Amino acid sequence: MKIIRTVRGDIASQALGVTATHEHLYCDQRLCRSGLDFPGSYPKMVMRDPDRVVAELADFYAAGGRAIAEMTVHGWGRDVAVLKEISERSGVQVVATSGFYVEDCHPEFVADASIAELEEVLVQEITLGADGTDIRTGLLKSGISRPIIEGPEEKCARAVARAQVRTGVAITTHTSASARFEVEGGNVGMQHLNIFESEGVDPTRVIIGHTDENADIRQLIALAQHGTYVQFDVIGKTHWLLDETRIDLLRQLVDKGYAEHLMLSSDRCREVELKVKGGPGYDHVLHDFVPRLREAGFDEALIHRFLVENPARALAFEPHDNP
Amino acid sequence: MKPRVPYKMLSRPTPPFKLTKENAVLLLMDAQHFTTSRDQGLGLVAAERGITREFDEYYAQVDAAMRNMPRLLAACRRHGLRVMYTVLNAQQPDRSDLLRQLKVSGLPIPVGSPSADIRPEVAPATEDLVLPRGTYSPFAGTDLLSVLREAQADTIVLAGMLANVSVAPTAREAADRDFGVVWVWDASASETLEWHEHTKTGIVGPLIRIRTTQQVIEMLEGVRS
Repeated sequence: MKIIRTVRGDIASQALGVTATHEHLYCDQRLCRSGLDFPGSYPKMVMRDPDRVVAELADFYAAGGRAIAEMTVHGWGRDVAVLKEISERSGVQVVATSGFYVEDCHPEFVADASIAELEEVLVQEITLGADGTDIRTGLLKSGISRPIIEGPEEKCARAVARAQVRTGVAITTHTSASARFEVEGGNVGMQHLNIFESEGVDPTRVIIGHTDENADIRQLIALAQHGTYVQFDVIGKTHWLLDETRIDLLRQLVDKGYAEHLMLSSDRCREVELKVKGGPGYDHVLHDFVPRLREAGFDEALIHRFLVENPARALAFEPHDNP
Repeated sequence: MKPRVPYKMLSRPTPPFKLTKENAVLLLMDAQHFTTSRDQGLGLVAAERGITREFDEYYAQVDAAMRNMPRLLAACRRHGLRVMYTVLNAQQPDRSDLLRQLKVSGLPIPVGSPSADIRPEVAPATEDLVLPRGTYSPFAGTDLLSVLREAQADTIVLAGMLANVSVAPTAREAADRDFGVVWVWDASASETLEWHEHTKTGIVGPLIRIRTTQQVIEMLEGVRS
């Protein structure tokens, strides 16, 4: 039987509910070793206050939100025990993630590890527990900072792919902002897919993330045609795309028959994005974007598919006894 | 708030650049006391106006850029790239050789004074080319273009001071003249941090890439595209 692996245990996929599939609840980019020696003008991705996050999740819950896929992986502050505490206090189901973010945020051991060794670390986190606990992760992540998947990021992507094949959990992806204008189609989704498929991954188990940043409908269609999920996960970040444009793109994808490939989220990753700091909070999609979808003619069945059915199908997997 | 860049989204990306001694040169712009020392040149003018504090962000960037630029220079030398410099430095005692827009600015562009000197940590070697300029882009009023063509260069690794004022137009003009450009943003400084971010966002184009010093070093070593 397929289950969804949350930080509070395995649940039936029907029990997931409205899900934001790409958010951060507890992360600290200051732990990454960028090696960059230059003053910064934008705040780093830091979310280290569980009390504040629990309070913010109350609005998400009130707006109907019931689950979050938490995107922080080992290397920049993931703590599954904290995620479990946040989940218990907020009532929001949380799926924790294994895998590797961009190379600056790789854990130290990645540099000298083989693909097989990295794969084994991921499988252990999914099957036995992560961060020194018995709390298991339920999703895999592959992050890419370069315009080409190469070097240590390719090694990690292949480890993620092999762990996917062994465990069955879905893969979600990241591409970095600075590289997106150097990539055909605006993200490395097709490159990712080529690597995953070469390792035996079924494309229907892949969620291509950040597709609503430097968007190109031709790339989005190509990804959906290959069977992947196409995730609009920076909704509200209008320096990338206007939310109106996101709605236009979703409309085109739905009209072409790809509704079952679409998922929505907002990628909260900085405290300044929380409501207490004047930001849009975790409920932007539910509170602001979904009403706009309705105004644009998206019916309740479609919205339910984006927020409930597709995330449940993507996150569900058949657990293996000995992956 | 980061700027929206819908026009940029229309461009197709170009293939990755290779940086080798056969095809690439390093161009360091205005790493001289006039633009980098708080007590000389621009810093002195700011002090005379009583607005020194306005330049805190600029000089914080300069300090970082002047730590990164020597690493960049050393790596480029190690890999045999030809090195070129520009310096703001009028050739005529009355600054009559400056182009009009710099002339009317009233900025005390040095005329062979020590503030025109390149900082010692990135000092030119004997074989390097130093191009005094009295323009915003050194493609005007210097021999840069003919030197690049003579060297059969097709790619310029570019870093320097007042990046939003001088480096950005230089990068664009280089691209207009069919050169690929790698702007090394952490070995450069703009008027403010906000301007630096805007320049990073705005400068990227089909023939212009932005990279950090470390990334350029990895490109030179052939481990990064």
